[in-house]
Amino acid sequence: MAKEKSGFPSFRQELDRPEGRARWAEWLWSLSAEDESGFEGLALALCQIQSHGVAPLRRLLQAEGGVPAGWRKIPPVPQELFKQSRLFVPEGQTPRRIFETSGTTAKHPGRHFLLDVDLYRAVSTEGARRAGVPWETVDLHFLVPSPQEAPHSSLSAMFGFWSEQSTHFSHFWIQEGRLDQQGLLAALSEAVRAGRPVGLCGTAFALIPLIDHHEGSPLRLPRESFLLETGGFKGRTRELSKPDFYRALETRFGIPAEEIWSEYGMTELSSQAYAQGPEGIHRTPPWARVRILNPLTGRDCLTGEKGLVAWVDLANIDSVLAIQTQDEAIAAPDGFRLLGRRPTLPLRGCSLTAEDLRSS
Amino acid sequence: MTAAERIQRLAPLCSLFPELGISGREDLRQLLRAALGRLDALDRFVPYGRGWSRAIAPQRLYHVLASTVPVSGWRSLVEGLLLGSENLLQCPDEQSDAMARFCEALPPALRKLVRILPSYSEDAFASADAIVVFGRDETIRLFRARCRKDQLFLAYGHRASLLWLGAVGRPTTHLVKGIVQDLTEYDQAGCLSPQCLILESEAAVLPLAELLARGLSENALLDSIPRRPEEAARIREARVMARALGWPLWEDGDRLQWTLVVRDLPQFQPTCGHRVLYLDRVPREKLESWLAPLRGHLSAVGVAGRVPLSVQKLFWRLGASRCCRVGTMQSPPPLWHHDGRIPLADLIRWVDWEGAHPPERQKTTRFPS
Repeated sequence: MAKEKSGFPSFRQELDRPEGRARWAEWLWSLSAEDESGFEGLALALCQIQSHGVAPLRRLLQAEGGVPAGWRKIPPVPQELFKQSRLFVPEGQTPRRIFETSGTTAKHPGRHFLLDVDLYRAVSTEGARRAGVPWETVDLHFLVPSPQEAPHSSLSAMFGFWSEQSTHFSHFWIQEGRLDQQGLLAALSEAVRAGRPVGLCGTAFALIPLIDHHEGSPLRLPRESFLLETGGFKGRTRELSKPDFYRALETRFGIPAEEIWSEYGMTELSSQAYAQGPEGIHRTPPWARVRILNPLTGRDCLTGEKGLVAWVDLANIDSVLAIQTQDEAIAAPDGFRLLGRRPTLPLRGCSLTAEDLRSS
Repeated sequence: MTAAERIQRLAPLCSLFPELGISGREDLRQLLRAALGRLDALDRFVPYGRGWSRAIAPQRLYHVLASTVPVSGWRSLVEGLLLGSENLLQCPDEQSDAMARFCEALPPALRKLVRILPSYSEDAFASADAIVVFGRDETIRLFRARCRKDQLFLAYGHRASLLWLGAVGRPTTHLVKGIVQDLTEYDQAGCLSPQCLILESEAAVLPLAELLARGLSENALLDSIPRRPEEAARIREARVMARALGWPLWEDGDRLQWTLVVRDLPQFQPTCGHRVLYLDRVPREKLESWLAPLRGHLSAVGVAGRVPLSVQKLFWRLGASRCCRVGTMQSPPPLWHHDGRIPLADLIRWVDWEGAHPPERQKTTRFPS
């Protein structure tokens, strides 16, 4: 491959081809959490490539004096920009997959264009594997619509990849927007009777009806089963703290709260972070890093300080690798403690906000 | 206590709080006259058509106040007191100090008609015969749903205001001073705060932006607001978005006091507030479609120079209740039709007396058979 001035291989064209993308994945797999220079080299190379195809990133780099000197200097692009702009690197190519954000602002969703889901498939399975989520050894029950029913949901796609690659039974229990609670509980009861471990994975909001379902005694899932929740209560009004939620899950399914998995990802990213327990520290795979930024200063928070999560995800090759979220977290030595969506500002009296306009 | 006596007691308070825009006794009288036709209609039956009518004010008003600006709460309370109602104020933390300060300034006879509630009180809400809510649509929906049918409900929903300078030529220092005043008051948090500044002429944009940047910079030295993290995050996001989209930007760095963006959008979008002002170039022929998202949400329009009739009519269609000079957006006159309504009038119920003479006060009145 051609060498650029920086000494890193030029992937600009290669990343548009399956072989080049597969090779990029190999590079990602070769990284370790301690490999600062390896991460930096790939991050800066990818940043340079993306700046050619994504004008907003190019403008941000120009405003900050050109190609950054280190991966921490790569300007994170606000999530909001995915709603306003088409962030897609490959020139003259058509994205084969588009993931869209959901929630209260669905009228103008954020859109993540992917040339292909190959790398997303690879990192979302490998990332969970490396985190220790035992998704390959148990029957899988997903509380999300299937990828066929929700082709624009990145979460459904990820669980779809797990389902494809697992040799065990798997099923998506949300159909036509409704959770088949009876069917799911019957399947779980059967698994309990047979002693077959299961993985129950879904959004926190989808898990709530199972806690609220008081018929019968708690379903103590067989040993080696796992629970995975994701997404918190994004924009929903249910008031339940994370510890209370995890305790309720523990009571219902017999899996200790400290062992419940929390997945943290988003439509605009390819990689995910995982934690265990209500106060767990989220950790990213070696090919992604998270910075916790102090909004007052714009600088990285010290350990123990609260700020906003910014990702640098080397698997996000088709759009932008650095993304500023609106999620709050506390910086930890080897990860971060996720607090959730930044609190909305106080009600703005009678002044109109973007959210109001979108929802009206 | 008669209306005249209440006016007498309220007038000094209005002078202490000029933000109310009520300068004193005469303004208070005008408010009552505009709503009731005359001053004494709350105290006795007054001539009406062939008979007599009397205005009935709510006995107890429950106010749900906004957290961003104190003045709307103060004004709501003054109106309740002017009507002689008891006032229960559900006051958010952010405004509790300001409201307490305001209430302390009330004369004792009126202060006993006021109770500040730190949060929603179901009992207090149920005991009121009228509810006034300031807030977003979801807040209004929530409280409307809690209302009984016999409770009068009055809501002020979310609104946006803007500056329209049309084909302004060379911007003057005076004009810039006015814009700075409109933008900075209440940290751009109220419904009268301009969310954007619309210009028709391309040529005026850059000179105006540069003058405004200077004006805002000077203002920030005198009136600096300590930023909370969530405000800082919004301001920074607005700036990064502008840079990423290639929009010209003026700002004050980490001080986070003001931001100016020359925007290029096919339609209006709200600002995040906190003195982030968008300058939008919108030719007249595109103004209607550009402002379409604001239909039903427009509040005040600050203008300079001539406003063509077609533009005026467009503003009215979009729901504007006020057109005013640049620099006066935050100081509506006492009789301003907030959300297009006559002040006080919606809180009043009328009762008619169909006799040749009004009923006598203090006495049982016999109807002639």
